[in-house]
Amino acid sequence: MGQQDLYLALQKALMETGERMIFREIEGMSEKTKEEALKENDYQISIPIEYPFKGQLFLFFEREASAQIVTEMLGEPVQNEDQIKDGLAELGNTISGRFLRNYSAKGGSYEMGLPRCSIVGNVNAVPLHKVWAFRFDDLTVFAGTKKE
Amino acid sequence: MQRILIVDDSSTARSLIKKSLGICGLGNVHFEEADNGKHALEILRSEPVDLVLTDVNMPTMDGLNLLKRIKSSPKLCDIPVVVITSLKNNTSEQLLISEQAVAVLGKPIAIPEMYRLLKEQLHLI
Repeated sequence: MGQQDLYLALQKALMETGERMIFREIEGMSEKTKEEALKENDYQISIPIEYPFKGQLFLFFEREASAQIVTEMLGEPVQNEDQIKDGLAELGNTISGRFLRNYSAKGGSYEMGLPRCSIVGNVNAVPLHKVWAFRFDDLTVFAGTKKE
Repeated sequence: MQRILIVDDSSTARSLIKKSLGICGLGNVHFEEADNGKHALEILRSEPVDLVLTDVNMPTMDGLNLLKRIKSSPKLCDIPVVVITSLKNNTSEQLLISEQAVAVLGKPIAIPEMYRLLKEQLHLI
């Protein structure tokens, strides 16, 4: 399976998770270079994937929109940055599970590790060339995969 | 008052589960929370609960090991364990059910599915 399958599985995962967890629908998608899409201080969620391929799924959330995303998930205002990081990691964990379920053969097995939330430092150090941008109303989630 | 133990390493996930249970009409249930299987066992040994809702992918002790420990304990084995996981697929579901989980729910939680399950397990609604 190639890039197109990864993209379709990810798109479906973001649609399913977006509707149920942040109550928004995808309104547009595009491919961008990391330099176009990402900024220093954005939140980065990385999830190790063990099977059906070895690699990582990366999700990026704009800093300005992140508190709002977690507030909408929880239904109450977030109190601190730890809560934002935990909320985004849980969102990433759910998206990753749906992504692998969609990508694997129907009902097939998949394995992934624990999500890790960090802050983007130097954009050039992000280990991806391009990311997919998924636009939900007033916020955009960037995503990409890296196979080892 | 019925007691439900929610086990997940993410405080957001625990909040979302409590919120979903509230929507299912379980707002008056007492919730205990643990952030991994080991912590959950400590709680269970001090005071039994009516239902355990657990994630699978957690540090220290994962949900599968927690399930095995509960089901191998004469004191705890009758407690129904529901697994809520982002790792739901045919293989993991078969394994968890063979270890006596009463159900495996995928994340994000589907409220109607949760409602039907709790109605069955707790006869509360």
